[in-house]
Amino acid sequence: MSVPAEGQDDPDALEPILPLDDVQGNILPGFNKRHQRVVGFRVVDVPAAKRWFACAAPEITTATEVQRFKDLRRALRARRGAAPTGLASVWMAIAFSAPSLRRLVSDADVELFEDEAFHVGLHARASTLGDPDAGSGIPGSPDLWEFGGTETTTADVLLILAADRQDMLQFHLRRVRGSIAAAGDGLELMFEQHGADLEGPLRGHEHFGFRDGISQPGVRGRLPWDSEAFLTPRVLAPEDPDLGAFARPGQPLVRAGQFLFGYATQDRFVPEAPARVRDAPPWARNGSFLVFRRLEQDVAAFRAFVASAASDLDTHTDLAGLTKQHLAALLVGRWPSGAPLMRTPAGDDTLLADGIPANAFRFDGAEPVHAFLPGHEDPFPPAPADNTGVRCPIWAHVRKVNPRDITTEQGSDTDTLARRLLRRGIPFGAEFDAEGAAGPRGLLYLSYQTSITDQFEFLASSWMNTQSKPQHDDGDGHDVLVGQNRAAGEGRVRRATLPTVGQGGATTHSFSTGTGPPWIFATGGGYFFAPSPSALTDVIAA
Amino acid sequence: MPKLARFDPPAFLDDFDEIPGQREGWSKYISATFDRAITAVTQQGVPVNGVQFYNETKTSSDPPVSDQAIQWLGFPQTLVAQFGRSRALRIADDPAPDPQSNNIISRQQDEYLEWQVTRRAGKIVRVTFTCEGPEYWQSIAGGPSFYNNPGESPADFGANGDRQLLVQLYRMLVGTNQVQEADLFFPDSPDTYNPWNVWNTQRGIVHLQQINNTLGAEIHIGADGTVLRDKAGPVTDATRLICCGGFGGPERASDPHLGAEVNAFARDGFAITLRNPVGIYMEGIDDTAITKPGPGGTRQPVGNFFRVVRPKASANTAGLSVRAIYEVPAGERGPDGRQLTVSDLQIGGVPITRGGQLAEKITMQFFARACREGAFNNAGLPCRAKCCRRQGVLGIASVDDPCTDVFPASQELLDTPVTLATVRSATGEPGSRRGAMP
Repeated sequence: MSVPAEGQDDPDALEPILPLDDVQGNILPGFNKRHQRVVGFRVVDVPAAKRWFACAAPEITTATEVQRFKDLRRALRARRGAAPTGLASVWMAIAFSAPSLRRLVSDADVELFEDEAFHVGLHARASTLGDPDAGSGIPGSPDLWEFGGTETTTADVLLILAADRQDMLQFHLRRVRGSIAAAGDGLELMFEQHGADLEGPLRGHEHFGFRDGISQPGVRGRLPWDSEAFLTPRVLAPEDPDLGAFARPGQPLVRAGQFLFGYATQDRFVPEAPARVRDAPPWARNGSFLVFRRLEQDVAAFRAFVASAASDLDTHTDLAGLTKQHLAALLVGRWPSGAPLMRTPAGDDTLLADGIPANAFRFDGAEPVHAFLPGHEDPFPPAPADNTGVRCPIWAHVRKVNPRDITTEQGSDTDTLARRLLRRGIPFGAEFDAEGAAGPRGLLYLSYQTSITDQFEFLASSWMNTQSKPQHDDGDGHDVLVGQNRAAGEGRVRRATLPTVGQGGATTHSFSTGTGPPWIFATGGGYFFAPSPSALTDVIAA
Repeated sequence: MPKLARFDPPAFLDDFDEIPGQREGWSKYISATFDRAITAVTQQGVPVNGVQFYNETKTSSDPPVSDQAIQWLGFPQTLVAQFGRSRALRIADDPAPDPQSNNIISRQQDEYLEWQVTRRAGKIVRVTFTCEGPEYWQSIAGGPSFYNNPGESPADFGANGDRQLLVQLYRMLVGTNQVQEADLFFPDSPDTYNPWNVWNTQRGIVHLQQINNTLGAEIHIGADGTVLRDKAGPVTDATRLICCGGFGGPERASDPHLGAEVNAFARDGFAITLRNPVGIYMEGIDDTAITKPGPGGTRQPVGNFFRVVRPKASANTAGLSVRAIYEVPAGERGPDGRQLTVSDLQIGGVPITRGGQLAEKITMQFFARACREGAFNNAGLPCRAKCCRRQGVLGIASVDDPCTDVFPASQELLDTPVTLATVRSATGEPGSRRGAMP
C-alpha cells in the first residue's frame, strides 16, 4: 500500500509531518522516565507568572528532544548489546487549567474549546467518572481529595518534571523554584507529588503487581527530519494485509488529531479517512488536553477480595482450582508479567510478556499470522478468537478500555479507535511488600487526548462503570478492577459474570465486590491543556 | 418450548383490552410483518430452508433458548456525526421540516427514542420520552395505514381500532381536552391516521414519528441481519454489514448494532427471532452524574426523577418502558426554597439546557431470541448494496450507483493505493465535515 506525500500544513493528511519541535515531549513520544514529579501551582500574579512562563518556555522539553534521546539510547543499546549507563536527562512539561487560561489569555479563546469537561473541570465531573458524592465519607469523594476536589483547590498550572535519577529531579526542581521567585513569584506552590517506577522485579508494574503501559495506540505521522520515517515505527512487511492499519499487531494506527489539536480526527467508519478537526482556538494547534488523576491503591483490600472471591468461585466444579492469582489475571486481562490471557489463558508465560507477543491479540476474531520486517518476529501460536469472553472476560480491564475488534454499542470497531488515548502514568508510593513500607501508594494517571469527554471520560463512564457496555453478553460485568458503580441503591457494588465451558456445557458464575472500601479511588487531579512550546511563548506568556 | 400462542402488544400494554378482537388482530398483523420479512430474506437469495429468521407463532423456539438484549444510546448519532455534539443538541430538541418526508414537520430523533421538552418561563419543567412504534397507534386508529400497503394494515387483520379510545388516550397523554378526532387524521384522507398530527409533533408527543422509527423497521432489520454476507471474505463489521445488506441507517447507533448482533448469532448457525412482545424499549436512564443544587453552592445527587408512565409497573414489564417523563417532583426545593426544575439540574457540572442531554443518558434495547445453534450453515451472499458518503454522511446506495463505495472489497482495497484524492472522494471536500478551527 503506497502512502501519499503529504505536507504538514494539510490537516487532513493521513501521515502528516509532525512539527515535533513544537509539540511537548510528554505528549509524543512520552517521557517514560523512572522518576517524575507532578507539581501544581496557583497563579497569584498574572504579569509575574507570564514572565516566568517566558523564561521557562525554552526548558519545556520538545518531542524532538525526547525522540532524539530515545534514538540515541536505542543506538547505544544496539551497539553495546546492553542498556547504556550514564545516559541521563531531565525533562519538563507544562499544562494549564481552563480558569487559568481565561486569566492568562481570554474568556473568548477558552470558549473556542468544544470540550465541556475541560470547561467545568475534573472536580465537577467526578460524578461522571463514578466517584462517590462529596460528603459521603467514602474514599474517593472529592471533598476528601488532597487537591483538585474543588475549583479553588485545583491547580492553575501543572508541571511534570521527569528524570532518570532522583538527585537530578531534585536539583531541577530547586532551579524551577528559584526561577519562579526571580520572575516575581507569580506562581504559588499548591502541591508536589512524586512518582517513581517500582524497584526490582516490580519495575514497570503497578502496585497490584501487573506490568502496566503495554498497549498504546500508534500515532500516525512522520518525523520532520526524515519524511520517510514514521513517528510510530512499523514492523509489518509490505505483504502483510494489516500494514497500513497497524504499526504492529495490537497497535492500530490512529490519526494525530485524536491527540493533537489542529489535525483531522479519526473517522468513525473508515480508519484511513479524515474526520473533523476538533474545535479549539488557533493557537491550540499541536497542543493536547492532559488528564491527571491521583489514584490511590489499597493493595491489601484488593488482595483480600481476590482471595475471597477466588475461594467462592472455586466451589463450582467447572472452576475447581481457580487460584487468586488467576482471578486477579482475569480482572486485568493479563498475567503479572504482562502476558495476555488471550495468548496464555492457563498461566503466566514471560515469553509472551514483552515486545510484539505481549500485545498481538484480538477478541472477536483470531489474530492472523503476520509477515514481519527483518528483525521482528512473533514465533508463538497466534491468539484465537474469543467473542464471548471465555479466555479473557468481557469485563477484564484491558478488554473494557480497549475492546479492539469487538462490535460495541457504538457500532463498528472502528469507533473504538476514536476512544484511544496516550497514557503517561507512573506509580507513586512505596511497594506494598517492601519492609516497613507505609502508604499511601497508587498511580499518577496521566493521559493526553483532544477530547476529555469522548476519550477519557467515555472509557470510564460508558464502559468501565457499566455492566453491559461495550459488549453485552451472558458473561458481562463492570470493570471490577478499576470501574465504579455509583447507581442509587447499589452500594457501589461491582458485578461480573464468568463464563465457563466445562463438561456440562457452557455456563456462567457471578461474583461481586461487596460494599467494602474501594481498592482504587481518586485523591486528586485536574483537567488541563498542554500547549505547544510556541503557544506558550507567543500566546500564554505574551 | 411450544409455539407462541400470539404476539402481545408492545410492553404488554392493555389499551387493546377495550377493543373487541384487537389483540388477535394485532397478533396477526405482527405475524404477517414477520412473514413478509422472511419472504424478503428469500428474495435476497437465501433458500427457503436456509432462512434463519422465524415467526415464533409458526415455528417453536427449541431449548436451549438464548435471549439477548441489544442496547444502544438514545441520542441521534447521525446528528452528532453531521454537526458535532453542541449543534446536534440544539437541532435535536425541536421538530423541523424533514427532507426525507417532503419537509413535513417532524422530530429528527432517529434512534427509536423521541422526546419533547416542555418549558415554562424559559425553564425546562419536563422532558417526555417515548419509544412506542407508530403501528401500535395506527392500529388503535383503525382504517388504512400510511405505513402499509393496501391489505397489510392492522385493520386488514382485524385490529379495527377505536377512534374514541384513540382520542381519549391522546387527551390523557398530551394532557389536554383540546385534542379532537379530526386533528388525528389526514385532512385530505380522513380515514387515514396521521402520525404527524399536531398533537404528536408541535403540540405534544404520543409515539415515534421520525420516518424510520417503526416496529416494521425493527422486524426487517432483525430479519436482514440474519443474512450472512460476503465481500471478498465474510462481512462481520457492523457498518460494513449494514452497507452490504442495505438495511437501516448506517450512521445510527441502533441499526448497525442490531444487525451486527443478530448476524453474530446467524454466523453461529442459530435460528433467530425477536422476543415477544416485539417492541423497542427504554432500559433506563443513567442519572449517576445528575446533580441538584445543595446548600452553600454544593451539588447533590438527584433522586429518581425518571418516571415510567407506560406500561404500568408489573412483574413482566421490567426493562420494557415505552413512555417516561423526566421532571423534578413537586415539593423538591432548592436551598432558596424555590421549586426546582430540570433547568436547575446539571449533568457532570453542565446545566441541562436541552432534552437531548438526557436522551444521551438513556439506554435503549430490543430483545433477540436465538435457538437451535448450529442448525444452519449458510454461505455468505454477495452484497446487495453499498455505502457512499453524501455531504459527509454515510448512506445506502445501490451497488450499481457510480458513487464511491466507502468499503470496497478487501482485495480491491489492497490493490488500490490510498491517495488523498481517493480518501477525499469518499469523505467529502475539505471543510465539509470539519469543525470551526479557523
